[in-house]
Amino acid sequence: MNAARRRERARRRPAAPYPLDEPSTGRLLDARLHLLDRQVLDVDGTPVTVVDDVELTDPGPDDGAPRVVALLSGSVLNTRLLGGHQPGARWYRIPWSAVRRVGVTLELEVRGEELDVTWTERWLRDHLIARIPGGRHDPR
Amino acid sequence: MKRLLGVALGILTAIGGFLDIGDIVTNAVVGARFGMSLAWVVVLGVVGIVLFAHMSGRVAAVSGRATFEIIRERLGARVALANLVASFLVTLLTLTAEVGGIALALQLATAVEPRLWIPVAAFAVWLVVWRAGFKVMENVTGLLGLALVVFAVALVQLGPDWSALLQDAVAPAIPAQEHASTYWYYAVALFGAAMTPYEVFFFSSGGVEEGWTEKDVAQSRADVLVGFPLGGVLSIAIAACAAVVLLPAGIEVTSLSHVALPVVTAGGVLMLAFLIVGVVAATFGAALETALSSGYMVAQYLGWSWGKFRRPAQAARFHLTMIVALLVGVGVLMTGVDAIKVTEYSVVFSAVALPLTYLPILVVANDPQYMGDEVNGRVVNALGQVVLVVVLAASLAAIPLMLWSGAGA
Amino acid sequence: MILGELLGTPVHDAAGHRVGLVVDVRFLLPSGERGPARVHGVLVGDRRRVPFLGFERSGARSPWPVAQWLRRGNAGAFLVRWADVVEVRPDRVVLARGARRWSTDLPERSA
Repeated sequence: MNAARRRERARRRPAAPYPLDEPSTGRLLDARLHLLDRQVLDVDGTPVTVVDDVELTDPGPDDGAPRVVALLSGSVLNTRLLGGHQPGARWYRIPWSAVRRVGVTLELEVRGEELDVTWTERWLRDHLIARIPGGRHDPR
Repeated sequence: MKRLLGVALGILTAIGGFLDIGDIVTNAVVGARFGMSLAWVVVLGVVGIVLFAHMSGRVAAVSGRATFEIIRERLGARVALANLVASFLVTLLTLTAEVGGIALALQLATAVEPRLWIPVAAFAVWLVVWRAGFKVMENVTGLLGLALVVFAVALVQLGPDWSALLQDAVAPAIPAQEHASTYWYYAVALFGAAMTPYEVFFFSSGGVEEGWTEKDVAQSRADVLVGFPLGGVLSIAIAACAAVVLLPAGIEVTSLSHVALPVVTAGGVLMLAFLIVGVVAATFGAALETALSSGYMVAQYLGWSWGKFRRPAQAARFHLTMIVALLVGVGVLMTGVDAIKVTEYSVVFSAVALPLTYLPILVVANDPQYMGDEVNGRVVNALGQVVLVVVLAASLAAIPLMLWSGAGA
Repeated sequence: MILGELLGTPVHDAAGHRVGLVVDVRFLLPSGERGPARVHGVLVGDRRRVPFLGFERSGARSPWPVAQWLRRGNAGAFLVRWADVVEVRPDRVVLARGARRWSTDLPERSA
């Protein structure tokens, strides 16, 4: 009947329910549940990338809660797989302002072609796949 | 009429998807060594693949998401990467075995050395993946794969002691000359062959390729409910043929001609011709499915543009992945490795990778975020979890059994 | 700040005791979905990796018993609103004195 046991029991006690009287209107999103590892589609519904990480503004004393600045893609190995801060992480950024809708997928209001993150796709298309006979043939 | 035709073609697809070189060879090996005493595993495997293929198809129809996308979304980047590496290697191994299988079947027909057929077969697979429409591809291979019905016909013509076969199947006993570890090793191999993960990757991605909506769910259910059990019946027929002809003669299956022997005994050259058409079509179909699945899983994990419904130039990395997978497969086969052995290992390793694929499907099929009101019912959940327990047991036992039994030696 | 670096960071209370790890970060997306998404709070729990990444918060109650097991395993987790977070450092997140612990459940309206 030590303090550790009591603390454990206090910890298990259900926390207060969510304050529904919040004046905040909008949707709540949990990063791991709704944002990370989600598919990003461009304005035409073409897959662009997966959300590897999210860039936030640095918490400042003046400005209130951090804001989402951009969706990040590319260096998933650096932070998410190895963990912690990895210097020199190279990210492709998709500005949050380009996001049109957040659902089971994230829909953008720009074309994937215009984003840096698709450069390998475009390079391989132009230098290899489109040059093979039938590469531009519509299979339908 | 058109709708009826649609159902029929869907069923054929399921048969083609279920019976690949791994199933054909493993069933013949098992029949020749254990008679019908492992038939129950095929039944279990059919129940499992029907449940989970349909579940993955429903998720694809309702939410538009293919299986490897939801694996990453629900397991996260790290665990999903482990699954990707394992599933990709298994699928690559299976693709290799299928291309080798096409070459072996063509060798039966032409007596030309398989090594000459391997590049031809791989090129043909690539050409279809590159060029043909998805529906045409599915239907042609499915229809020709139906020729494997010769195994059932052959079994009838062999005129076996049906009651003895049935007795053997419903009251299974480990044959006296076999060790228990070998029996269970082959049980895991058969289960792995029935539930190879590429089937759900292909099935769910195929749903997205064909633009399924909630309206197509009933059709997909009809397909899997008839198609996979039919594939299971043919699997058991293959084992039974081997049990009737090869087991008493003490012949062990080490090549495709051993698989064909009972059919030749029963029906001669004509039936052999059907068998070769069936094996070529089934392995060719499975080679297409595994080649596409290798592209699907990598593209879906990394969020690339994918799909045969797009022009190749609009899914460049997806097509490059498949080209590389085929080249690796050809490279492995050209070293002269035995395709039959590759097959056996691929089905056992696929058993290891299964839980990380099937658990996320079950979880997402219950998630209203994705499924709205179309979440799983209680019966499907209960059955699904029973199958998952078996999947988990097979996955944990696979490697120890492989070592213990000396890979079924 | 990179979100991935925040996940898994130890969380300490005002007295310096470790109370858990950041298991997830909750955002508030303004209605109409246009405009800045801001951090609403951090979810604190006792394990580095959450099975199925918080599936138990999605409102799913099946498949029984997997969903129940996930809920139980996460029973100790709580939400702290961002206003109650006083400091974010690479090695720790420090909560304010008397920081209120809320349930991690997502309210129905946003599910």
